[in-house]
Amino acid sequence: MGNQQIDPYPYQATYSVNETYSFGDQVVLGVAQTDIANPDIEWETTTTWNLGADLSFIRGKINLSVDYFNRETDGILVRQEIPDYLGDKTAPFENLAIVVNKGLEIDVMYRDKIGNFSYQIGGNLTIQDNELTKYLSDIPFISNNSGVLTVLQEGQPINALYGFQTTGIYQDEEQIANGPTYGQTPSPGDLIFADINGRDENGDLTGEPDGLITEADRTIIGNQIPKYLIGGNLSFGYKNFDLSVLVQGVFDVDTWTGLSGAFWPLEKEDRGQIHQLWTNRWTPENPSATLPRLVSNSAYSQNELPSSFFVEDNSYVRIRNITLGYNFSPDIIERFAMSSLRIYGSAENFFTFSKFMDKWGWDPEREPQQFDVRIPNVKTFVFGVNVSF
Amino acid sequence: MKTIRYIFLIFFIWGVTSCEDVLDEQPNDDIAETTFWITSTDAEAGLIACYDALRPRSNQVPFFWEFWGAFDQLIQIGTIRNGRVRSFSTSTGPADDIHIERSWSAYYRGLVRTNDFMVHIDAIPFENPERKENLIGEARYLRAMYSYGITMIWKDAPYYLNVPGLEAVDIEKTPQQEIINQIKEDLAIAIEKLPDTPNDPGRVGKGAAYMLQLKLALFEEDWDTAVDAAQAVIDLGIYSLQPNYADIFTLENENNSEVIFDIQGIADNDIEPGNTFERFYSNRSSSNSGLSWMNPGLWLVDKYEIIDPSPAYTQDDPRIPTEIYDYFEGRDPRMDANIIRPGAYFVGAGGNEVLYPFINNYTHSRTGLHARKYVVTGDGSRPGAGTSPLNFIVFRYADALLHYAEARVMQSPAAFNDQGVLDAVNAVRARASDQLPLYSPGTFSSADEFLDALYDERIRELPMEGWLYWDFKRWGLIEQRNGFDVMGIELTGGQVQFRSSPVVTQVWAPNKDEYFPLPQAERDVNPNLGQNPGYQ
Repeated sequence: MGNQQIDPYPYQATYSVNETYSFGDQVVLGVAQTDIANPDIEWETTTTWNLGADLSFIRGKINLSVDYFNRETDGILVRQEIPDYLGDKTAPFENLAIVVNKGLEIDVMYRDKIGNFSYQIGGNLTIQDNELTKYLSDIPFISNNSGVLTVLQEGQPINALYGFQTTGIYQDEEQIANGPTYGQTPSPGDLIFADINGRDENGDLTGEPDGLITEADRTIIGNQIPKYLIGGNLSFGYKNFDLSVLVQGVFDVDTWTGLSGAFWPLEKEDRGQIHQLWTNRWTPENPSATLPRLVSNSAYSQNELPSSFFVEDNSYVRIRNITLGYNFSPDIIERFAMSSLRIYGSAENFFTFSKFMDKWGWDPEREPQQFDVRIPNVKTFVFGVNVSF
Repeated sequence: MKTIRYIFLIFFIWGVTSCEDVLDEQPNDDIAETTFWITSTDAEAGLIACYDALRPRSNQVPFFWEFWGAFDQLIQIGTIRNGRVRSFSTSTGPADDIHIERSWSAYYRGLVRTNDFMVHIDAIPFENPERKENLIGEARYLRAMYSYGITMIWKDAPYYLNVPGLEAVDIEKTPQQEIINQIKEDLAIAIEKLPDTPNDPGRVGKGAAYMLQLKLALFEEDWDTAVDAAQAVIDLGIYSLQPNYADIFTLENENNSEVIFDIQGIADNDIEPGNTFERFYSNRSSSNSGLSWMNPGLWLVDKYEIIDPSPAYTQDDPRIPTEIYDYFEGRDPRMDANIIRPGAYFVGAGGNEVLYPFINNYTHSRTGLHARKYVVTGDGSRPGAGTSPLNFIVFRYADALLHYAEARVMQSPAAFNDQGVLDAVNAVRARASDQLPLYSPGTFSSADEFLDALYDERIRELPMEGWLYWDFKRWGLIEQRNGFDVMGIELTGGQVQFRSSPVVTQVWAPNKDEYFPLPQAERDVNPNLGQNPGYQ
């Protein structure tokens, strides 16, 4: 199976006819090459194998299905970040990586009936391991998507979060003087970045601290692919009433809090509001704060650099839907020439258990980005009547 | 366990599919590589794309060549509203600043397009061989202009004369001197091939190529070449100063006799967006709903000589005290042509005349003063906020005259009393106001004294046009930025007053601030690109 989401002519360069200019009042047609071609492009190939068992116990009261899956995608097509000094052109898709996604899917369902009371309890658990097993380029793949840095690195999940590792907040000048050298000298209250790497004279990474904080010190700081996914499905029936609950959750996954217009203050000094979390920022009187000092980016900008400070665990459980319904008995509705009548109330996204959401107030299902202003999943309540004649 | 019924499934799926045919289709909306650069029409259109690269990719991204106008705000002239760019004036600019990144992208877009033209032009037949020569001259000039921008901002940088593919990703930097040598070669050929008078308004003529040659020679302190190039611009005899300074920059007076080369804009339409830069100069009362990036300070105001010590002005508003009026009134009129200050009027959107600073969001300027230069008055730039029909002037005749005087004195200090040198400066001063005293032999006692006056003249004549930042570097004056307090005005308790504290105290770090940082994202991809000194 191949990835279908690519441009139609990746194998040859094309000239765009939209590069117009004007002389006086005249618009004049301009034509220029705006992309780089990759004549060697091939389709992605995916090889899948599954090993599964469907089991049924106690006359179908318990159903269990277990499935081991292993999907290897070869020649993953990615648009490499190409430098703009190649002419500010659109990058071609290249077959750059092999990714293996493997894991176990377990599905359990139990159903029974006690007199007028029937119930069904279902649950599923997916344990998955996503690993980029091969990266086929000498050029590091660091993708900057609105300030969220991700990387393709062998042995890591695809699109792992990338940046500096923060190890706390500087408390005093002495600590700064004894620490590594930054491009811009920090002050007490600024984030500490771990010095874990450096470059030699040839520009190659040494793997050793070099006393300098540079781009070489950036590393994997988070995983955007959940290790565990769970789902639950409960339904109950009693006489004419029925109740169903749908639960969904993910565990062991990270997200990016980012420099929200709401969260990160002083990006624009003459506008914006400061999030109340900043009441717990670092000051000499509040040395154990979780947030750094409050400083405008024109005075000090390094706290804004992509770092593990912005990475948070994003595990959550969400009660996706609760529906309570009532079906009127046929003997009542036949008088109104109806064949069925059902009234129900349904609540969507009413309950979410998420440390991330409790702390930041953001929806855990949002797409992370640097300036994080997104509309969350809305809570909805629906009351409905179904009538059939 | 007889109650257990079970189904056991084992399956392998090997899925390997491909659709080779789809990969061999020819596009039908764009032009394929193999069918372009064949006719003279292709060459004309390819060259237009080289001009198009003078402007940002769309009206949603910051300005590009005009960004140089913003650089002027990083010296004592004032300050800039955007915090990230402003941080360069306190030596704390980040290597991932998006405006620096986008300028970089735009220069390389121009370089590759001009290279693409140059690589193909020789093989394309033209019915009119002179036309072909002109087009080559234009492309050579444009390539020189893009290259000049690259090496002025970043010094050593990736550089090439072909159309690079993916194989060039790990390219190393080319030393500045090699880039400069290529610029010289391109300009020499451009001068040979270009017509004296441009073939269309906005196209390149010989004058533009001489101007760039002049700028480069000044940078290299090659005074002989600078004098020759400035003289050549004058000798073309097709440029003259506009009678009224403020008229140089208006929408009504585009392509006037003073303009040597400009970036053309047109009223917003579906095919061709206008220019972007006006929005960064204009304010929130302007029809362009401006962003107020240019924040002139009192240092610039002080540069304008007082020509009328007791001006007859009307004090219109009790919120503006007499001392404010007294400070601003009676100066060289170029001050009011360049900035909007308390007590002055501004015609904004809807044709409404408003008294400054009582416009929308005057505080968007950190100094409390706004740019008037390059701001279209009234409804002139509607409808597209962010797009403007106004042209941005890269080179104009007054710049050439002042450079002529400077180069002559640098070439031979005794020339400071030379009538021809003084006349060049006097022409600019006389145009500004008939009340400005003119210079004559004996006015100055030394070349240095003359040069100080000349530097001030350039500051008064050319602020926010994109050349003063580079002049300050050449003059060795940029170091003055270190510790310089940018001052302005503010509205407190309903009264206009001078700010008691600086807007910003600038910092200039030697061995760092001579050049800007290479964009971090480019270095992420290519570790062969060393960063400029002092940046992370």
